[in-house]
Amino acid sequence: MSIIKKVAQTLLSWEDWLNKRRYYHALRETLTLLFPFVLIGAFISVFNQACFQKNGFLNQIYRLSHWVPGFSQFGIYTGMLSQTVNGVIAVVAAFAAANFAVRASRRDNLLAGLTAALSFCLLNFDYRNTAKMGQVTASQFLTPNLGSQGIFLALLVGLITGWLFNHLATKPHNHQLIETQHHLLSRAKDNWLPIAVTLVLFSLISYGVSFMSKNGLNGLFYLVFQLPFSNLSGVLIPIFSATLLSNLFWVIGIIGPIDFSGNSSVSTVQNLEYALQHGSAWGAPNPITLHTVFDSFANVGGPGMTLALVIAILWRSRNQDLRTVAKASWFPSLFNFNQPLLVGLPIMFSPILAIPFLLAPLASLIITWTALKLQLMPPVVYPVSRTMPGFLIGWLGTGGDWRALFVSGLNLAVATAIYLPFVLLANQTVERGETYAS
Amino acid sequence: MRHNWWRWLLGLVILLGVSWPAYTWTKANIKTLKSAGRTRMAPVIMVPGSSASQNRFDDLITELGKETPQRHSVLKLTVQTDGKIKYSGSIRQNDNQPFIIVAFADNKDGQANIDKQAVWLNTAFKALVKTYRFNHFRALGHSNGGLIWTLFLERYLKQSPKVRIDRLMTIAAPFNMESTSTTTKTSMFKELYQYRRGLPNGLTAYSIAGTENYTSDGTVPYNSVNFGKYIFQDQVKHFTEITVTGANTAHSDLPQNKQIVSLIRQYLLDETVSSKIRKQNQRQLKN
Repeated sequence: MSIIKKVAQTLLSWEDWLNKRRYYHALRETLTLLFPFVLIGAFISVFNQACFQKNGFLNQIYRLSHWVPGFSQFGIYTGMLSQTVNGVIAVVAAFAAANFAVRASRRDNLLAGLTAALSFCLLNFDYRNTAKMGQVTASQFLTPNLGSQGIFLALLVGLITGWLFNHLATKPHNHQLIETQHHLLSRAKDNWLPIAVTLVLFSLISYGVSFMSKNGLNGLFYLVFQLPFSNLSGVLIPIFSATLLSNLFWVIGIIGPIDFSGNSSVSTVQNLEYALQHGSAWGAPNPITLHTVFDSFANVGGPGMTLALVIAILWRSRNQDLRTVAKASWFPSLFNFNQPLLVGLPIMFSPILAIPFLLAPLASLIITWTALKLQLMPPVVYPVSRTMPGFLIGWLGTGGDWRALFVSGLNLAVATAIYLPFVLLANQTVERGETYAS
Repeated sequence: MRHNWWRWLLGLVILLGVSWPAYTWTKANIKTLKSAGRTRMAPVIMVPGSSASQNRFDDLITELGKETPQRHSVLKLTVQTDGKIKYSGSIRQNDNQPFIIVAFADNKDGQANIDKQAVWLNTAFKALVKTYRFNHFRALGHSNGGLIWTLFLERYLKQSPKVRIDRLMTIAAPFNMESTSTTTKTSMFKELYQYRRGLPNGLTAYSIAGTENYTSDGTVPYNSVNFGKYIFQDQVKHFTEITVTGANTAHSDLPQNKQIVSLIRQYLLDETVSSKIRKQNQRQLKN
């Protein structure tokens, strides 16, 4: 018992220590600041992908497209909303990160934030296309990199910009309640050096990268991060390590090198063909694949079995911050959108929550793998959609096999048990806070 | 406590309200899949012309790879004269639109050989369907490859009743062999014409002709390509003829001709191409 307490103490003091680092603190503040936008984005994604897409879960089960008036208009509208709100979230992240990074040292946070946002856009500019056209008018931004995919890079850009401002701007910034033209101009004068250095630095990096990668620095990143996932065979260890690595990437804000791999792989198609011919999922040729194990059983509520985290928080946590985030995020989490939890709690860059975030899916993988190996349940062979509630995928994907539903339930329970001690750690923080207060 | 009790009940009702329709949906879905499943994999099968090996389309594939966002894996087959098949390359997992190239060990020109090659294509096709279990595909034929495809579609596709063809594109296919005449009918054409009713009704076909001068691409006469209309018109759902002129329109250059590559992207692969290419293709269609 005392060992557990010791470990808990170590973890807590480690987090405390980390929180006192200026740039780390700025990172966490940025994520929390992004929470409302990410939450709205997640709700929009649920409406768009689960309700108003052809293969959306709610559309499929309630046949929404048949009786909701203006279904396709809703689809287009929510799709647009989703692309705009979620599509530029990384630019906001770059702004906020730089803003928080310089605020503590009383430099000009607004100018730093704007510079970071601009720099991030510069970094994701399609120089290659522009060079091809021979003129700058036909320019484009690499829009896919401005969304949640780009968050890691955006935070990095924000922090680097912040660092440059902290070291290059000499005069501290005085906040004025009512701005005057004179003061604004003097702000510009005080900060021209960091602004120019940052913009030149990132534009040069971007231009250099454009010779190597079609999709900018972010594309280069993802190319590297996707390497380990290119050849996944049907054995447990590669699936195991791929899941671990992928979830680790999620924790540091590199979202989804392997996302839901879907129904498309040849092995899945072969399984489906087999099941359709034989009328049953039993004996399918590829019982253990990323799809049958990871997608279907270790992705409940999104990567990291985050629905279990929501349950753990709502069940036992007394930390009001955690409860607020969990209460707002349970609905998107049902449909496997966990981004609000990632930035709201935040799970990203949190040493305490990262541990169960990595462990819970692995436990699910082992349970599922055992059940498949011992032939306690058939593999998932029938098509399932990305937005299908995670704990139903096993049941529905096997064509309604109750044993698969039981395994999903067991996975969720085990994952909740794994999350629980780490959620309770946060209670201690609250209690300590209360004792300080009293 | 009372408060909590209500919440649990509400949760249970929602859970049932989702689970039950979901269960009936999945059952219904499986049923429809059983009756008419379109497999997700739909390969693009290419057949080169006479005297060309399985590597004939390498340039085209490189050219396509430069522009397309989607990477296609490539499988190459060479059918031996005894019907045995040599494979090289492989289809990557997750690739729903692989390129499969079917070439023939005996790739000589001439009607008798084309008849044989159509039979060999059928052998290879059936082996592919058995291995990869696809039930629809797209076809591309260069030169005599187009004739082989046409013959195959007319006579042998029926032997794989579950498989449908989505699109056919022939590039400089000499439907009337080397004849430059608009009236004389060669026996190759007569054969293709005779079996034309066997073509799948739902087929969408594109025939591309290249012209270096006003009459031919240097090898295949324009009039011979134009004879395709007698075979396809009124037999298939859509038949479109496209003529490409300009640089690189010599017969053997056609598969890697930039305009033809963009036509392949837009019409055969059904890709979303940039408005620039679309405009360029459309401009061409008006000619």
